[in-house]
Amino acid sequence: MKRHLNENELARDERFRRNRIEDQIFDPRNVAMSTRDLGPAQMSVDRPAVSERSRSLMHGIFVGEIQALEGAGRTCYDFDDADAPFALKLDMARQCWDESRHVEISCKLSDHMGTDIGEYGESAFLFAAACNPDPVMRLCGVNRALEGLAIDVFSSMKTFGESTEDPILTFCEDWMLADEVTHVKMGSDWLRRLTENDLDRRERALDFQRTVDKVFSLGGFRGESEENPIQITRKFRELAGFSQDECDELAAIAQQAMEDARTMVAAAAASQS
Amino acid sequence: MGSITVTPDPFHLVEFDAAVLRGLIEEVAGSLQIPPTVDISLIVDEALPHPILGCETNLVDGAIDLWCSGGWFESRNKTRAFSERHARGVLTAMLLRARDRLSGGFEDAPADGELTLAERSAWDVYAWGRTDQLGHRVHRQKRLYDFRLQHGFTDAADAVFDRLWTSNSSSWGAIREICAETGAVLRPKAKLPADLLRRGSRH
Repeated sequence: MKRHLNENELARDERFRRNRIEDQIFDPRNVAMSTRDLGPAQMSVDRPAVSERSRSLMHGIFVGEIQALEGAGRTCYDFDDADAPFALKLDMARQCWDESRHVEISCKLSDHMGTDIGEYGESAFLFAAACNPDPVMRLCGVNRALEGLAIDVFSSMKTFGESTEDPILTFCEDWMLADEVTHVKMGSDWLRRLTENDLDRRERALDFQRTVDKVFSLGGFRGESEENPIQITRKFRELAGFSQDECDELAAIAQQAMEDARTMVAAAAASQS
Repeated sequence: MGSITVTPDPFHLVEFDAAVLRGLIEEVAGSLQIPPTVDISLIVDEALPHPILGCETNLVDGAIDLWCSGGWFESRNKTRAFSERHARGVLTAMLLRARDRLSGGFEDAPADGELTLAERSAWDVYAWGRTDQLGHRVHRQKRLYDFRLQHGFTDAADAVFDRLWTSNSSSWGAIREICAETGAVLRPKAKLPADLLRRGSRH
């Protein structure tokens, strides 16, 4: 079996459809949208189009879980024991089991909300973070950045479930959230163990994580202000081994990502006028 | 003969054709037996993609005034492309509500921008249920989830949904009674205007 698959080699059946990144970036509606009041960024019952927007997010979570499963699965296989200790692979195998369960839960939640598999496009940038050939970098990209984003998303979805008194959404998100804290903790622990005698490598890995975190902040999708749909969840991140300083740094990265996105939109608007 | 207008014409941001939309409206309005003398105007906010969905159906001086976000007509398989199936479905639901307002027991209902979210969601279920009965592909579970968000995740709310979904006859008074029955009238008032999306529209 081939090692190190890239995101274009992921197996999908005919229900799935891949988003083309160029379609999203060059969509002429982006500039018009940026000037519009679409209601509060965070999900609430009186947010315009709240049901369809929450369905879209839930589908994104569903495909994200598939890619997290694929990423953890590849880590079990892609490396020799010299590069990645057997105990690490055991942790990744346990994570695969968790992610499989999350995929099933996400399918059931999509049924609950009225979404068909493949109704929304899939972006593969989450899996792209799991393609690094260095296992330490990959752990930082997947377990600390990607799974860290999952903590923030699940916590926000759980809050939405509580606000709408939806017992199914609240319960499911709470259970998945607990698993994600464990996955991030595994990433934090293995990062320290694998780089114990190589601080340069640790710093390179943390640099890679910062890059992934900025990408995953999606130009303001995640942050700590009311303008961000997904809130950074410090309480759970600290449980998962993030220090206070690391949480502060992530908040600053997210803020920078939002400002960069605004600058790009302003430049695009200026070029169109 | 009443006129049918579609704005914008032509579309600039999406691959929609105003003439195709006019033809669809004429066909659907005819099938619903909306009096052919009534003027119909449709404004499409082409800047709002799927999943930013919003639509309104009002009567203005006896004419039918429709507004909707472009996302309602957008193909799920190709960004900015037109989906006749989705357009036909939502136009049917919108024009059923227009017929309700003209002579279907909803003559005294407030404009869409003044409805509460619960009132609007109950009326939508009544409209989508009839759209389903007419043979269109309507996702019942989507409509149930939307209804639950406004009326509660309870057996009582689900029973009301079933009643509305299969109904062929209702009225504005019945919709208000339903909101009392599910307890939706006791919920906190929405902080945002119901027509927020339309308020930002250029047209």
